[in-house]
Amino acid sequence: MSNVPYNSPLPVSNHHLDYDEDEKKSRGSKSGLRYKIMYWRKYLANYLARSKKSILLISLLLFLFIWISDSAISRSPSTTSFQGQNSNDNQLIKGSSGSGSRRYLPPYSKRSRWSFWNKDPKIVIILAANEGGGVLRWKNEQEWAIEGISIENKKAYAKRHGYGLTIKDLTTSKRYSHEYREGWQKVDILRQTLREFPNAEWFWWLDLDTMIMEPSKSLEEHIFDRLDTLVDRELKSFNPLDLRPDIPYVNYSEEMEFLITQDCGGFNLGSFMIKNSEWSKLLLDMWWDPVLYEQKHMIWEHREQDALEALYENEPWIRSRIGFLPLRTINAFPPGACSEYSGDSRYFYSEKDRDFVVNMAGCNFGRDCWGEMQYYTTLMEKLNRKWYTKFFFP
Amino acid sequence: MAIKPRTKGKTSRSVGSQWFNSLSFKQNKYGTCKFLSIIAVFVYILYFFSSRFYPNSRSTSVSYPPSHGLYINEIPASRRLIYPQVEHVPVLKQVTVRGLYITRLEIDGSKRLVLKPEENAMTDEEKKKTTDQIILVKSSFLDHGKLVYRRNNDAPEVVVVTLIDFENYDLETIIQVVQNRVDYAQKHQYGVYIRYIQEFLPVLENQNLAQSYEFIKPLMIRAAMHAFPTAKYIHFVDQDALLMNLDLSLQKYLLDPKILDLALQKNVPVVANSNIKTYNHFESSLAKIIIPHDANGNIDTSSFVVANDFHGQALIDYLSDPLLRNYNWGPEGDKLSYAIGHILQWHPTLLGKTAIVIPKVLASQYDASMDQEGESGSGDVYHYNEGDLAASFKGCRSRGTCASEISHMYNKIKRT
Repeated sequence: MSNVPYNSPLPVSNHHLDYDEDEKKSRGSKSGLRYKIMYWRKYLANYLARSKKSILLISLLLFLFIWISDSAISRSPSTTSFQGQNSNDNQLIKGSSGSGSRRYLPPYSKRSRWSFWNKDPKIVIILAANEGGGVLRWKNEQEWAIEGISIENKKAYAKRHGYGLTIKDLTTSKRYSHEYREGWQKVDILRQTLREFPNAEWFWWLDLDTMIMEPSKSLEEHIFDRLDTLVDRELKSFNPLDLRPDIPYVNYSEEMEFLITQDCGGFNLGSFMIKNSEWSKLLLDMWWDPVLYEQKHMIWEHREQDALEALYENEPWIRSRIGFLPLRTINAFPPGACSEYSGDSRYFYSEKDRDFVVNMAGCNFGRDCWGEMQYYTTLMEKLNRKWYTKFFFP
Repeated sequence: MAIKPRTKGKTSRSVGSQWFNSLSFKQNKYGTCKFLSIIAVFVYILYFFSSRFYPNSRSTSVSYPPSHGLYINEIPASRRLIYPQVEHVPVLKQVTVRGLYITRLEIDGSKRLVLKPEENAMTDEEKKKTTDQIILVKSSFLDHGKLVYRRNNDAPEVVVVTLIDFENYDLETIIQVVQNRVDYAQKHQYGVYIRYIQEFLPVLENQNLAQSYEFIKPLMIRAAMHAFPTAKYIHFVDQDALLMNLDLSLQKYLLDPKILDLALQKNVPVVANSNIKTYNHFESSLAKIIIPHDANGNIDTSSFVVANDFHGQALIDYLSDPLLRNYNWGPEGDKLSYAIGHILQWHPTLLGKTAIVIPKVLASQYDASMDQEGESGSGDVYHYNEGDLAASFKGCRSRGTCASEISHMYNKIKRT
């Protein structure tokens, strides 16, 4: 018996045989193919020569179509001019990280309008869910249901517009309480998410008790395309905390990297947007400091919100890049929240104006979270029902 | 079979052109071509111009007020070298700080100096009319803080920043300090930004100069960043320090990443006895703050460099935050050094941009006893040796020897 095992391949391969046969086949039809190519080339040249006009017309129409459909989405403040001093060049040493880039890029700049799915979403929604995680007490059925509805709402929205969605678990939020730091998990989650999605441009933080009421509106058309007209940077129109409207060294020629809202009690961080940038990373790092917090933790009832207010009040590097959106653009309240201001239309969700998001902030403090969630879910479905569904689900 | 093109291509007419011709362009060939090309050119022009004007027409609605410093109305400076008229020091000593500002009685009975941000600078006409020397000195003191450098063609890359104190120092020492900075800056086309410490007193909550002295440094640096918005680096030099080697340019001698790498303190505690250590792998090209350690391994604030971007501004603004400034940093020692040490230990993002370097490169400690023994100095990295960039006389206030040490060393500087 030889040493070669039975199942080892034989040293002879079929390749050469195959090759020979292939060549024979192709040789037969070679002249035909060449003729065909020549024929087609000639035909095409002829055709082009004859129909210059129609090709011109078609390309013109094509160009017009692309232009118009393009400008429909890119109406953005790409070059915003300011009265103030020219922004100083932040790029100190060439080749340093991209934080110094001064252009305002709308977040969808690289996204094709026609792609249905993209691996690197430019906008990522961060949804904070499962607060407490049922550790200290049982989560009841209604809480489970609220969570389900809220997550489903964001999921559908993100899918519809090609955004990313990441659901962050707040089970361990109680761990922060021994340092009087409840609420600070938000900052840690943001820092972690910024690392997780290095290619995203903007992050939209949403608390669990929120409902996107107008899923058809994209964030681009609703927020980013009209930032200039929407945003208040100087507390001119609305200053519930009576912060100093003007402090030295604030430079409004910096671009905005942190978009928040204010409710009747000051800054509201239930729904805000933060840009993925070096500045944001630094802010998230500087936000909590033991020296500041040690002095104030008894007074700062809303913890990270109050800390941000204090930083905003005194530090121009932070003030230079924060913009305030009107509450109702991304964070409208139900009548139960800020109820002492019930006449003030700046706070409350309006069905008529089709406000974008409802934030049932503080509904677990003596209000009916489940009832509110049910009400707004039904309303959302009613408002966004298509005309043809009436035939099928009257 | 029907889809296959006919072999006799010459006579066949394509479906497209048949349809097109039936559209009514039945005139001659050249007419339609001309017509279409005119439309094409028109569309192109429309596109070109619309992309030109569209963004501008939208953004005109937005206008924000320009950035301003402590004063809202500012004066453009004509020279890169901004320093006060030091010859006024004797008069300022007479007037005292109380005479320079308005004093306001607070509800709790304390008196505070107040700064008026809306105040306008004294015009030249008013100056001509005034004969009262004291009013002139006062206005020149108050207007000095309104100077900002806004010329773009001759903007310095580095600005040397120093505080001077008209109460505790005599005219001779102040002139030497100012002259030293100006000599250095002129050699390298740098800017100079010098102001009186007393100019910042009204900003502070604790208006005791001796207690708040260190925290005026960040206020001053911020003012310099605003006065020279295009400068890339601010080099702060304490008034108890002299730039000894005027030939060393900061860019070549320190800011070059390769050279900065050599001076870095890697993997050492950020402040003495700290668990937090400086990074072993530090990207020198990304350094935004360059600050030396002293001989004890603590942060030395007598001479340091801060980049004029948001990293540098973040550190400076944080240090100027009243909550941080008024924290109980301990009864003695350099409070600013403790505060910076604290920030660097708690905020890794900032530590990652901070180069902690050996004192020799920025602020060598001058030791009079060593100086007398031999002219060459001790040779270690903490004490001043001939050829070092700067000599720091830290601690001379408690020794009471600032004036003598400054003038002794000032005469040793080689000016060519």
